[in-house]
Amino acid sequence: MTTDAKPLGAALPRRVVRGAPWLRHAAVPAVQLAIAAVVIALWQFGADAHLVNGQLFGTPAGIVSAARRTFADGSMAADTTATVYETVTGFVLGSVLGSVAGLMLWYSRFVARVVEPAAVAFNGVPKIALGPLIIIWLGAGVESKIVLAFVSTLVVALLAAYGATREVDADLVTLLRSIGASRWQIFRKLLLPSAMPFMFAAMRINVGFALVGAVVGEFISSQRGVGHAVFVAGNLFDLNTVWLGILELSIVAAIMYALLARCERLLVKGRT
Amino acid sequence: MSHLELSGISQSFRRADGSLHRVLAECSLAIERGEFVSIVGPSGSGKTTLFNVIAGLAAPQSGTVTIGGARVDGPSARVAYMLQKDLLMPWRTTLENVTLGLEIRGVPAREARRRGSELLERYGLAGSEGLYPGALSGGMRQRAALVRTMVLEPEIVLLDEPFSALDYQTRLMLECDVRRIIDERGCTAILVTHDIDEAVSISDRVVVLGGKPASVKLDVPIELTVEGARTPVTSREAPEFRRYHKAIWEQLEVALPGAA
Repeated sequence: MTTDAKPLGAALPRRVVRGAPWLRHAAVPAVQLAIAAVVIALWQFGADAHLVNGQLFGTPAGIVSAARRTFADGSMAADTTATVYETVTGFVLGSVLGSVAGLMLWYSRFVARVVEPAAVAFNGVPKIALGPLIIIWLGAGVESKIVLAFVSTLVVALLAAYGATREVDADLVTLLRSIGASRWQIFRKLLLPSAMPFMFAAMRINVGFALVGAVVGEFISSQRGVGHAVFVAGNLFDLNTVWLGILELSIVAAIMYALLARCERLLVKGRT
Repeated sequence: MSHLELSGISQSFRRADGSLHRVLAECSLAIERGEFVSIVGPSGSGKTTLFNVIAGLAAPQSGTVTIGGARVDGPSARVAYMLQKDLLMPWRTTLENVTLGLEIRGVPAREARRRGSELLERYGLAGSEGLYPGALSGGMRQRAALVRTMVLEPEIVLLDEPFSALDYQTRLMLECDVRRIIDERGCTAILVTHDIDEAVSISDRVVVLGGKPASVKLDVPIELTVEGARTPVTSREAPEFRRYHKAIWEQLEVALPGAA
């Protein structure tokens, strides 16, 4: 039984892209861009040739003009800023408070046993079902969206962090105790670093959940935000603006993932 | 006065069904300063329980443990542990793993690093200070665990099957190193093992635990005639080696009826 066994395919010769290193690095994004370009060109061509109903599906040219219009009138900046603000605030609050609460449960088995069933049950509830309540309580402003993003991420972060504390090697705890470590030292030197990868895994999931929370909140009632723009445009059958909103949301998500990956590289060490 | 004295140690646990499981009964043992003693016994014979009691991690139900005459009533800086699992933290480099204990004891970081790298170098791990454990071989990892133990400058080293996960050659090599390092530092050592050859070849004395609840079945000093220095390798060539092996084996058979 060895832990560093290589995957079965590792010994087989693999086909690699030959050529200069920059070419090898460029190969994957080049193919991705090419596929995107072909799809967009076909889509536009189909709409121009009336093979695709541009009214029902939108068109690339229409999306570009929607982008120009919303950029010029400032609504693109206002809407994305609002959505990013709601998502990021809710995400950070939910991830931090959830992780801290989950880690604290390590300190008390009693509290953990009281809280866990409720947390698991609440985790199964689609948080957007809380939308009407939260909007009634907090109004149609950004606060209700932040709270929706927050509740969407909180329990995932809590359960992941608590689960991580239970994965900690009991022998390592014994070793630290035999050296004379205090409970706080065990927490800081063992619990926290070993829980870190689990907490980052939860945060990757939570980027999506936070966006769902914020955007659904905007759907229900709001004056601005990408979700608001998509909702209004959808009611008007302006599918180009809907596509534009989806594009904006995926860019926001991609940037959040990238920042998260960077934080993870800085904080999680020694895992290859 | 012996360096480590166990007198009348008894320990039992409550099983899940509420019945009482007696692990150790009236275990007494005295170990002199600088002695290397192996404890051999079948699984479940209370070896780990005994270790936890010596390390001050668990209080015995009755009996006392004294180190240098002082009663043990909690984890002590005089005792250090080394287990079968190397327990290196994957997010710490070799050097950071080695200095973990010093960090916990509040030794300034610069001083801890200096002492850590000095020992790593002395014990054949020069150049691996900055590597993460994932990049080390099994033997190197266990050696790093040994350095992590020795850097705490313990008087008594508890070795809980530290060699059992290693391949044969690495194991012999590490046994030699451990014995040499422990002698060099003047430590008292207690090794728990299943391997009779290992126990006889590395120790000054072998203690066999057996019975349910367990007590000391046999306590035999190992005196071997070897050419040159006695090491775990040369010990295996000694004419008396088989005789000790047999004596211990017979005790284990008594303790383990029906086992092959």
